[in-house]
Formats: sequence, C-alpha cells, structure tokens
Amino acid sequence: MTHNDEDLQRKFDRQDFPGEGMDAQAYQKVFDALKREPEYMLPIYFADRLVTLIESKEKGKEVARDNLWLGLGLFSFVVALIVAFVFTDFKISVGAFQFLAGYPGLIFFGISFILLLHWVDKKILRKVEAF
Amino acid sequence: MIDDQALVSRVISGDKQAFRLLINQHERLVAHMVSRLVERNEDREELCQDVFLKVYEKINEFNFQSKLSTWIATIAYRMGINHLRKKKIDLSDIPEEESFTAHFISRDDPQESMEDHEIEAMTLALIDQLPPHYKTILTMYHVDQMNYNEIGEVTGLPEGTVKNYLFRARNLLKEKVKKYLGKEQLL
Repeated sequence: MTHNDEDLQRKFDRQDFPGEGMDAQAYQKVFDALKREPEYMLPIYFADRLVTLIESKEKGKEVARDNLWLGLGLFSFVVALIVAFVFTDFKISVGAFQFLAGYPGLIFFGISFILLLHWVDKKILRKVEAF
Repeated sequence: MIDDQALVSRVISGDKQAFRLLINQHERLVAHMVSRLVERNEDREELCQDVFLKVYEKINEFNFQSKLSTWIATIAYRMGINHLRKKKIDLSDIPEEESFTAHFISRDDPQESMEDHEIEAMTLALIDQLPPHYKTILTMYHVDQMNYNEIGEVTGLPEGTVKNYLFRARNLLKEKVKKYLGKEQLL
C-alpha cells in the first residue's frame, strides 16, 4: 500500500472526496459499498421469542428447585423417622384395626366396592359428562 | 430513550420488558456481526439467540467500563469466532501482499463492462470473500460507526492493528474494483 492509498483512505474517512483518478474512483465505489448494511435481518418476533424462552427456562429452574426442596424434605422426614424409631424403641402396631383380621369378607367387600365405584366413574359418568 | 445504566439495572431486577427493549436496541448490531462471520441463516439466528442469552446470563457482571453496545458486540464477536473454530473454518490473516492478495486480485478477471450497481454488488460479494476478522472490522467501522478504540476492545486487537486491517482490506478491495473500472473505461 502506497502513501497515496493511505492519504486517499484518510480523505474518504473524513468525507473529503478526492474525485480525480482511477484510485479515487475505485475507493469511492468501495466506501459506498462498505456503508451498505448487511442484508441479513433477524425476524420481527425475535425479541418476544427469546423472552418467552428465558421465561420458560426460569420456570424450569424453579420447578427443579422446588423438587430439590421436596426431595430434601422427604429425606429429612425419613431420617427423623428412623432416629425416632431407634431412640423410642417404637414397635409398629395396627392397633384399632386389629379387629379387621376377623372379618376378611368385609375387607374383600370394601376393596371390591371401591374398585367398582372407580370403574363406574371412568366408564359411565365421565362419558355422560362428555356428552 | 432510556440510558444504559437504567436499562441494565432493570434487566438485573428481572424486568423482561427491559430486556426486550435491550434486544430491540442491539439486535441490528449483533445481526451485522454474526452475519459477517456465519454463512447459513439458520446458524445466524441460533447464534444471535445464544448471544442474547449470554448477555442475559452475564449482565450483572457488566461494570460500565465501556458502552453497553461495545460489551454486547464483544460477546457476539467472541461467540462468532468460537462458532467458526468449532466448524474448523480458517481464521488466518491476509498473507502479507503474497498468495492471498495476488489470488484475490487476479481471479475472476472482468470480461465486459459493468453498470454501477453491478460493481457495487460485486464489491459487496468481495467483502464476503475477505477473512472473517477483516469483514467484521470493516462492518463495525463503516456500518456500526464504531471507532478504532471500540473495535480494539471488541476484537482484543491493538488499535494500530485495527487500523492496519482496515487499510489493508480497503486497499485490497480497491485494487480489485480498479480492474473492473479500468475495463469499463477501456470499453
């Protein structure tokens, strides 16, 4: 690159256009083209979509944090339960429900009745509601 | 118009409307830089998205030592360069007045005269053929109106190197355009 080139470029930078000569004309074309914005543009909904993406990511992080606290809570509960069992020498007893051992038919009826209600709810009531 | 400090504070406090405003104010700058570095439109949009996600993630580290636009441009430039490295695209400098320069100027010799708008289209195509650092620096200087100091901050290059890159790239383009103009005047 010659001093002439440097000089010409500086003049164009200062918008002091030296009109004469092939070099000056060529620089004029180059500087005009360089001022043109690249054609690529982002879609108009770009900002909205990005904000929605950030919000959903933050929501996901919140759910993960809640789940972590839930897990820690359950773990602490189990540990506390074990410690309590050990220190109090607790024995599991069905207590008042012991009398049910003498009525197997009642237990069978109870379970069957609950299952029947579920079946009726699922197969009949929900279909009727849908209409 | 809201100033950088107020905008950044609002974004840090979780104001999504403020972040939407920040994107709207800087998306052209990021799109210019990314489009000069990356060829495919799908990759460009994805990279622009990653740039703004990084801005959102790191905005509490912005210390107002520079303009917000310069800081965002720095992130866009680094991510663009990393993208090219991942794709194993050559980032080499223009070899000093030797193979690249000679090849760049001599190829596609003009066969016939060109209209003004054709020369401009050709010049734009030539800009795209320059190495990535050169294209980006030219765009930052001529389109985004950044000064040498700001471009140096974005690219991590000394101010003298930025000036040198600009002069060399424009000289290279001028030599090529001159060949077409020469043909035009002979015909």
